[in-house]
Amino acid sequence: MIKVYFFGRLRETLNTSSIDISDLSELATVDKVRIHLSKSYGPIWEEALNQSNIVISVNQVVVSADTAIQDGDELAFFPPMTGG
Amino acid sequence: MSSMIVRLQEERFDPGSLQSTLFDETNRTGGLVTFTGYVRATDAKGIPLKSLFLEHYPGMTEKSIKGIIKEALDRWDIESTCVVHRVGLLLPRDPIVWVGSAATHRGDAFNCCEFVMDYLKTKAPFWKKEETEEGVRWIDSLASDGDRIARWDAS
Repeated sequence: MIKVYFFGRLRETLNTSSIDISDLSELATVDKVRIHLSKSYGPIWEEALNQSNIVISVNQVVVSADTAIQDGDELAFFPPMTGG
Repeated sequence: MSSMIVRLQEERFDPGSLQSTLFDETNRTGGLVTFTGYVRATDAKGIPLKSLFLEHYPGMTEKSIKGIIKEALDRWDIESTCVVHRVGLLLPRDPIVWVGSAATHRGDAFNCCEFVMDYLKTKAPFWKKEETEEGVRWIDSLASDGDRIARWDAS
């Protein structure tokens, strides 16, 4: 199982803070997880998760789309950061 | 040996006492540079701000800031660095962020403080949402913040 967190505008648009995914058989990379989620929960998720500027992290480190995932990983999808 | 302190908090902070505390913990410092970021009184269009909400990613935010400080320590000779960043609901003119860097020589302290602040704006997971009488709006990242990072990468 992996856990996927959402933050900022994305969390609000999806109305979801986190989601668990149990079946990882077809989900080798973070981008495959993004595509899977964008196709599973209707047009709002599809549009939100297909924005080109989404940042993805694995185990709290920002990664590229082709990064492989493993059972137990903590993923997060979020918009570009605006701190400071 | 260089020390670093990273703190996220909802409570207001006092820049003056943070500076005194940072200086008291040093013994070879000849220059201490600090930066305080405040909530502006208006949004980008000049409309008075009611509040600013700061969301973060618990765990990753602290880790990211520590990583940024470590990069700065590889570049400059720093005795101590401290970052305090507020989260949650803030009001106009509240202090948001404080960065202090103490070094034997001022050049290192100036560079470290500016580097940490520039990277923090685009690499540490925080998201701002502002409220005015026109409603609530998530703030978009600025291209100019990315330009400031590119400047450090080139140096």
